[in-house]
Amino acid sequence: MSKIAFIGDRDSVWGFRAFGIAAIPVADVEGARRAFAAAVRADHSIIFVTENVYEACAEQIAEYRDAPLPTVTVLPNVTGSRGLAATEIHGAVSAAVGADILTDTTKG
Amino acid sequence: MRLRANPNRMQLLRLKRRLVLAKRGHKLLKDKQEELMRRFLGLVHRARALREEVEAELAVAYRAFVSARFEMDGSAMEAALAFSQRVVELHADREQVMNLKVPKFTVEFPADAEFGYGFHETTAELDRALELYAAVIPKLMTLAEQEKGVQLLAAELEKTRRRVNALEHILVPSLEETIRFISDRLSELERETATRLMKVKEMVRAH
Repeated sequence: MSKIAFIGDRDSVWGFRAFGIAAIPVADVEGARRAFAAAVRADHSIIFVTENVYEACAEQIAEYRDAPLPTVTVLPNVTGSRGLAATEIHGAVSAAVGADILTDTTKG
Repeated sequence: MRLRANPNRMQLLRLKRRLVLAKRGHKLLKDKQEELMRRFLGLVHRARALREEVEAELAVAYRAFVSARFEMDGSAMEAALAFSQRVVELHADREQVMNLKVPKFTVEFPADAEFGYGFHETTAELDRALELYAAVIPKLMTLAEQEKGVQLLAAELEKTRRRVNALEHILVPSLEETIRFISDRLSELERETATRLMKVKEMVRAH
């Protein structure tokens, strides 16, 4: 049985508590960093983060990019998505292929 | 670019063997790159489609939850969420894709379980919001799995591409050039010896 965490602003993460997901509300950059470090130490398999938290913890998250676990995934928060995850996938694709092959399909 | 090597037969043999090895390595890596690319592109398309779906569903669920929050007392809400019995069970495994280990998540979700909180303090809006959450949660796990796969495959592809290029554009040409240089040198030496011998023979005969 593996654990799941969701770090983000209170309104976004709160509801997930009903499903046994560790909802960790954070309010500022410093709190987000501490919460992320704690979540990794607590051995969560999946750590969901909101886009704001992702930006605040970008360096920490990059450390786990090449490891299978923990898996860090960006989710939109209650105010909506800024498309950060899509940008991430784009970055991965252009690094892998050597050219950005997705741009046309997203615009079209 | 020529490698530093003494022009003798020993070196020539060694370099020829290295060239064979480098070509075989190049072919293998190229095959690996193609297979990785095939899987990678498939995964990227699936992950992007799922990402869009999840973000749309999540937006609806969030809206329902926020409106439920307005109608309920904060502490009652907290208690209700804490008492919920619908706990997601996640099993994290690793799946082997080529030489990579990618996470594989399986979700066990008691679909028909009750939320387990009392009826009189909670609202129908909360139930509705949580139903929406429940619908999207298994997809979140799949999304996490696929996006991680995309990241891992991308890193591996980049590494493989660099190796293929290094073999194709640097190691193989420089080995070939060095081999050509040595065999030119050796045949030059051979001609030199032949002419020297002829010269010597002539001098002996003239004597």
